[in-house]
Amino acid sequence: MLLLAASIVLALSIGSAGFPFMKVWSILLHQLPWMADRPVAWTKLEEAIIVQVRLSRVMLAILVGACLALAGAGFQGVLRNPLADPYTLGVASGSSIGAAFLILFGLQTFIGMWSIPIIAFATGMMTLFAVFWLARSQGKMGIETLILSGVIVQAFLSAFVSYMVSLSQGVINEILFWLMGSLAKRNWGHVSMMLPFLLIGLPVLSYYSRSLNLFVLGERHAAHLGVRVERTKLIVLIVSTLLTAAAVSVSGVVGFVGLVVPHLVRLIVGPDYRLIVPISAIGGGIYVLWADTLARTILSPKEIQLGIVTAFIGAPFFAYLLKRRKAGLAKGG
Amino acid sequence: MIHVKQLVKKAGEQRILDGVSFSLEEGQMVGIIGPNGAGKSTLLSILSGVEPFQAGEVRLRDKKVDEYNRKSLARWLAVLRQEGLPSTSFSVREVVAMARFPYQNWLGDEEANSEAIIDHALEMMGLSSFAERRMDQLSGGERQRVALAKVMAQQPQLIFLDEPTTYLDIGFQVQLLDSVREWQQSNGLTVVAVLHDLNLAAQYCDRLVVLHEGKVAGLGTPLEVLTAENIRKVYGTEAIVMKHPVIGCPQVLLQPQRMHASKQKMEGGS
Repeated sequence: MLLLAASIVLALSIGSAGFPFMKVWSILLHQLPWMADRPVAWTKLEEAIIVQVRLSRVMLAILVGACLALAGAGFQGVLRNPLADPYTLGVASGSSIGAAFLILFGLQTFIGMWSIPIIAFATGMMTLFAVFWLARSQGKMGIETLILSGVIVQAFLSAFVSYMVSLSQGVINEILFWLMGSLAKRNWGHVSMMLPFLLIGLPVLSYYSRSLNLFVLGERHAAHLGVRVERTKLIVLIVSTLLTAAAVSVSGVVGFVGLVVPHLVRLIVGPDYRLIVPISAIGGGIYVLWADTLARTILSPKEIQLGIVTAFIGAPFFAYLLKRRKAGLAKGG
Repeated sequence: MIHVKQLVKKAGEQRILDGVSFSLEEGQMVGIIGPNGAGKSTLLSILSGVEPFQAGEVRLRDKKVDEYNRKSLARWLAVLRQEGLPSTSFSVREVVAMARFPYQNWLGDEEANSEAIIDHALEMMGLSSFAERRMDQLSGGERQRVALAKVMAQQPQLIFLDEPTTYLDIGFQVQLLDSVREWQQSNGLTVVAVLHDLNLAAQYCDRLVVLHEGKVAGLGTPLEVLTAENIRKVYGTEAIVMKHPVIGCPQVLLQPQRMHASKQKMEGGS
């Protein structure tokens, strides 16, 4: 939590218009109602940059990271698959197809700001079940088979989204940028759209974290200990997909966050989901915040996509997990 | 305690269980025996309510098994599965503590003093010094002991064991079944165990249920059930049944069919 607060202030001060650390602090504190009468030592413009532009972006990065990391923890727990995350399961791409469809054809204005996450959730769920259907043989889903199915579905859907992009004119650049994962040109509206998803997702997954611990022993073991296995699976999958859809609606496809963060958390706090779930949310926030800060500063004033940064870190991490799993299997463990 | 009536379980067109009926009384240790593919493990899964079936009826304590809420059922029915516990990075104590799940409310609290119950289960299985060890640092036999400690911490009145001794060497087999038997007798529990080894089944069980081709081929005390004739009928092999020199239960001695025949031939020729 402390680390998160420190990261917020630090990330706020980094940017094309540099601000000293102390100034950011005082501007932030000034926003608190009981601090408002303190002397003002900055311009209106500076305050606007910090509060309107940077702070909203920082908050959004944290929310996106928290949602994706939670979704990853949920998928990994309920599928007992260490390689699962919204991206490798194809759910992120599935959500993006619904969202891209709405954005491209300008349909989102009909039902308001909730239309994108709702449609993204629907297509994400459909994708998830399509992937399960592909991966299932004789009632079982192999760990690698599931990921392979996810990758195949993801490849197909990305091609489809690219095709939709080619069909349309005008919005192309923005869409492409969004698809590769980006937090540029977002505002407080996006923050208030995402927050409810996290406020639903976090308590639900925390509630099921004890059941997820029992899932570690196997579904049958969990059932014998009184877990309603099918119900738990369905709810956790739905909530994880919902969190993914919310994140994708705002930031496009930001890969591997749900893979990297829960694993790092697991290394630190151990296998207990009662800790993994909440700490993944915080950790995911910090992780994406720093990834986004890197994304907007590394080639400053040009900006690279957030998705590129997370893939640079996440894909090698995925390779490492895969390799370690193979080594573990070779040892017979 | 357990009433099974005309139970039918199909996998595709094949009938795994084909009209199984029997009743078991409370407070006994019952063995389910039979050849491979007779449907023993399937039967146990159905009895514990985690496997659906096509026809018939299964009642536990006069209530249909599929009408139970899983959590309330888990407060008096525990299952030890054949494949044992996976090697995870949970500690022994954490795994045993998971047995308290059915007693916890939605916040994860429970009324009873769970720590004392967990300690007792660890002590009973001689795991007190292992409590903080991680599961992936234990051998298969040690993990199976943890599994049994977990079953104990669940404080059940009915216990299902699915081939609990499969992956254990003979020392651990006897140790595990001794603990189960002692615990069963001192608490008046009901134990139903699928057992591969006929001799162990005869030594530890009050009654045996014989499954053969999806049907009950015999039910009774080991003395009634384990006869050379039954073994020939069910397993298709010749065996000699003798009395155990110390405890008096029937014991099965196998004889190699081919060598037996050739030896007879040699004897006949000389």
